[in-house]
Amino acid sequence: MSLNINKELVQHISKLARIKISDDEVMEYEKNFKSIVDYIEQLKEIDTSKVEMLSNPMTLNLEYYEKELGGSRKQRADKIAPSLNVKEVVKNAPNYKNNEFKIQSVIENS
Amino acid sequence: METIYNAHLALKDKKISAKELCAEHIKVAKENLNNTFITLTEDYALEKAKKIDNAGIKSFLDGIPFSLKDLFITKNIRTTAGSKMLYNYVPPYEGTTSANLQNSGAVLIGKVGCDEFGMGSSNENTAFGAVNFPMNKDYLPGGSSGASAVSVLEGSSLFSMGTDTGGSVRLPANFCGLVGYKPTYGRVSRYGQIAYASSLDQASPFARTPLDIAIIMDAITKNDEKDSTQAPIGAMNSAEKILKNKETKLSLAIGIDRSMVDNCREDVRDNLNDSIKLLEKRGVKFKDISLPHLKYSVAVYYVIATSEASSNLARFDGVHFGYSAKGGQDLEDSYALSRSEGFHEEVKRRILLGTFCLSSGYSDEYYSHACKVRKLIYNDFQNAFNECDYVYSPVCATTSFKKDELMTPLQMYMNDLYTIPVNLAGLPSMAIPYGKSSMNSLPTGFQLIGNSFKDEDLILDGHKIFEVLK
Amino acid sequence: MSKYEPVIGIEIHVQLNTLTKAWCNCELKINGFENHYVCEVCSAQPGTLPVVNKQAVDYALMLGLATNCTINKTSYYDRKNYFYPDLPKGYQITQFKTPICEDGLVEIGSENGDSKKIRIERIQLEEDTGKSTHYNDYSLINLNRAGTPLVEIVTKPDFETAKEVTNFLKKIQSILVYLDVSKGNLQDGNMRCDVNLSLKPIGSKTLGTRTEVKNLNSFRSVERAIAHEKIRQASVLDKGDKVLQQTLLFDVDTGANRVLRTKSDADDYRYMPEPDLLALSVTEGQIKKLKENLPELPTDKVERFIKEFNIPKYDAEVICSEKKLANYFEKACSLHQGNAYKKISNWVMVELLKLVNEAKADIETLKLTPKHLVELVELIESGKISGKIAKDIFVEVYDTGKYPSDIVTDKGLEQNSDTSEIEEIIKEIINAHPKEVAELKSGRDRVMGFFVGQVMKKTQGKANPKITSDLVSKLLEL
Repeated sequence: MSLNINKELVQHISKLARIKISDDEVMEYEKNFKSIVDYIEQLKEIDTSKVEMLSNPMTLNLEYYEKELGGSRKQRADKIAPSLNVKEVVKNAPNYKNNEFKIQSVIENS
Repeated sequence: METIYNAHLALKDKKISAKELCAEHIKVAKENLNNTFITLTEDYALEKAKKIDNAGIKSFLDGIPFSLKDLFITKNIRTTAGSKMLYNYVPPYEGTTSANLQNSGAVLIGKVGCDEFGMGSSNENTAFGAVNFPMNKDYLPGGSSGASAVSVLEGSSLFSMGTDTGGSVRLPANFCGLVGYKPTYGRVSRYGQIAYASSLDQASPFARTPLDIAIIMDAITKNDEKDSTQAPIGAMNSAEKILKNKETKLSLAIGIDRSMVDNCREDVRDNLNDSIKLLEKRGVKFKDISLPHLKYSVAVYYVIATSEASSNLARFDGVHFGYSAKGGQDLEDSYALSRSEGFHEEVKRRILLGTFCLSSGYSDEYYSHACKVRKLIYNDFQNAFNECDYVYSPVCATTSFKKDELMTPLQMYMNDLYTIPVNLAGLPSMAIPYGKSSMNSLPTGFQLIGNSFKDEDLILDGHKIFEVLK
Repeated sequence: MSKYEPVIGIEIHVQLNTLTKAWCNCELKINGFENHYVCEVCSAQPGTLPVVNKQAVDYALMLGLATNCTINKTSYYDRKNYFYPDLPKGYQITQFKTPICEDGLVEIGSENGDSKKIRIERIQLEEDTGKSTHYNDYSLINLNRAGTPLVEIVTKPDFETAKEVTNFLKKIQSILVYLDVSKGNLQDGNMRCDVNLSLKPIGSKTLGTRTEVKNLNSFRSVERAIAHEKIRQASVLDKGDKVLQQTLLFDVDTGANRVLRTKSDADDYRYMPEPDLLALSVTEGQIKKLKENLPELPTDKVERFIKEFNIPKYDAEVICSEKKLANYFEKACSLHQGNAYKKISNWVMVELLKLVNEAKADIETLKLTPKHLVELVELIESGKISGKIAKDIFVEVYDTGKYPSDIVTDKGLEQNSDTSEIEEIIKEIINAHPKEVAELKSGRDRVMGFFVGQVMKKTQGKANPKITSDLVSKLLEL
């Protein structure tokens, strides 16, 4: 997909990311964005058609799990442990009421 | 006495008490000449030191004062990530690295600053003010764990924990003349470490010597059931190995791409070449290797790290914790305002870039493709390790840079060119200081990169090399 | 309307019956005191990480085995990124690219009585969100439910009618309960169903645009929503307009589907591999062990009941539709000293179920236990009481738990098989009803019922009806 970094794209991304960018800021962001994406474009010169994705280095070191855990990964037994005291759960919340997090109204969702 | 080990001996011999040692370091912390600390835990530290004195000195870390980068979660002690977003956040649970160190007897002096959420190379991108570089106030200590390095330099702690995602510990260690150690990805638990890039982050210590590093690493590598990505192989025992070591010969094969050294600024280049000659004299065989995909590292990193960060930082929405802006018209608006006001520019930039790289229509082209190039970089290192024990590399092409040196974000990212590949491949690496710059007298050094899970060997050989070059 | 035919696929979210949540050890107590079953992991505190719940994986595997799926020995977790206050991490951990189970098959009864195979596209592991409650100008969030382990079952668009959909849902529900993997209850929210429906001209191979309908809390709602959506889309198409790809909410009060949102850029979930969890690997040994220990599934039980108890398929299916009912029936049969299994089945299917459904009772805690039922049936078989008396006392047994034999003794309800006594009564009735005698003699066999009825009346239902009709015949020389 050919790339055109412009105000619309920056605003679309900022909406997806839930970050408000004012109109004066948009130009600065657009500029920085463009220079970084231009730089990243160099990756296109590499042929990766026969290469597998590496998204976490541990996937190449699974033998360390095999050795210790006999093939299984770290998984939990279904045993109940104490939860946090409810006061601890909400203590850092900007707004709460009756132990529940309180926010501005949301449209109904299922 | 500036090392953990020496302090340990002094404590054991009762030349000094834990309380006195602690007080000494708190005094420096309180002077705050360098704006190092975000949260000082004076009473807490003194209490702990007293307890240690009563119980007696048993292990290496008993009574040793240390600081934690404010990305480490400490229960009931404010943890800010250097950001306005978590300005008053007080964690309801204890992080694993904090617990491991404190349970091993270390005394927490406080939480030190950093680039927000670990994003930055200068410790300037923070809501708590930049950190001064004690060696020269016109320069910067590097980042993102700049304040951690400074806290060791200035004498407010004997060691400090930072996090290294793309060089955030090795770079400041290199700028500050300290030893910085990034473990193999998956060696140390990430539970209780505020996430920046999940497949790249590792808790990484600063200290003055590899022996000190060994002591710290032994304490923090315990198996943690709460981190699925940590290998379950259990704590290292590297300090004992160093203390028992009598071998001074360095019969090692070390791979090097000489062009990397040649491309450094001349003061750095000269010192690095010196170190290479010295090591060769002591038996090291340097082999020429090529890491052909290394030059793409920065680009790959900035796709993958920002993509992961954009997701990891989505939880900061002002609902369950964190900064919540006033004046939002509705919920969506409140989200956008809170995140816009709560995050520093650099954080916002990276979230946007990451969001873009994952977005529909671009995800394959950017994210998936970058992950494939990542594999190629990993393969480059594996090829090198077929013939060598380690890879020698600069940490940064220059020394520390000046405060007023204007850099675009991209230029700033290029500072991490040599450190980033190591995180991408998940390898362990030790930043070892060597020499001072002929241009500005600031520290220079290099990094020794090992293969995955060869941490104990790397720490031992790093120690031997450090002793030779001292 | 009949210009078009519907193409329907469904997605079912099932809450698993584990003790703890998907990624942490919090007790799964969705209806507990608000935010009392929450830890740092499920409230997404910074620095926390997920760890897989082994039991949840096993449950997903069992469900996959029970629905004839291919098990992917290696499957992966992904993040689905979106912002919503009941999703504290800002992403849901799910399985987007490679789920744990794929390509399954479930057989259901179709409209015309045949069976139909519904293909399951995938079964994936994921997690539930917290709950939000909405007030006038604010909302409150409770995270007890956040992190509940879910499996999502996605079917291929193989359904053609609403009945097929509800049959499928009932079948899945039955399997879930049989496996004890979930309570599978639509009303309680253990099972949630979204329907995807599109229309195409009859016979056409081109699929239309599909919409998604949510908020279906009962089988009835599923049927009503599908009915409404068919009409709604048909009227759009008839006008010459295009059906928009939308998500709709079923309104249980009006029976209509109203638009929640139109598909837009806001739905960009930016899927990425979950870096905090490694690949989910399942071994051959693990699968084998689960297969061996898999509880008997409804289809297998039906077949076994047909063979073992010689009851018709219909009976077996009704009884096996609910695990508890099947267990009840089987227990009763095991206590029975004969082979009147069909009779037991009739009592279970008709009289018992009627009372149970009325009272919404739990079959496992009835006062009318299998032992009681068997006794009742055996009393009839041995001729001690008539079927009618049995029906009469059934409710009393159900309500009180008294044994039928005790009630019969207490109330003196034993069937009268004393032929001489009955003969006397018959003679009385014959004399009193000459008209009916004439009718019966002239061949109207139905009138026998009148005589038997009269005898029953005179004996308070205690006369043995067979003996009665035989005696009538004998006395009238029929």
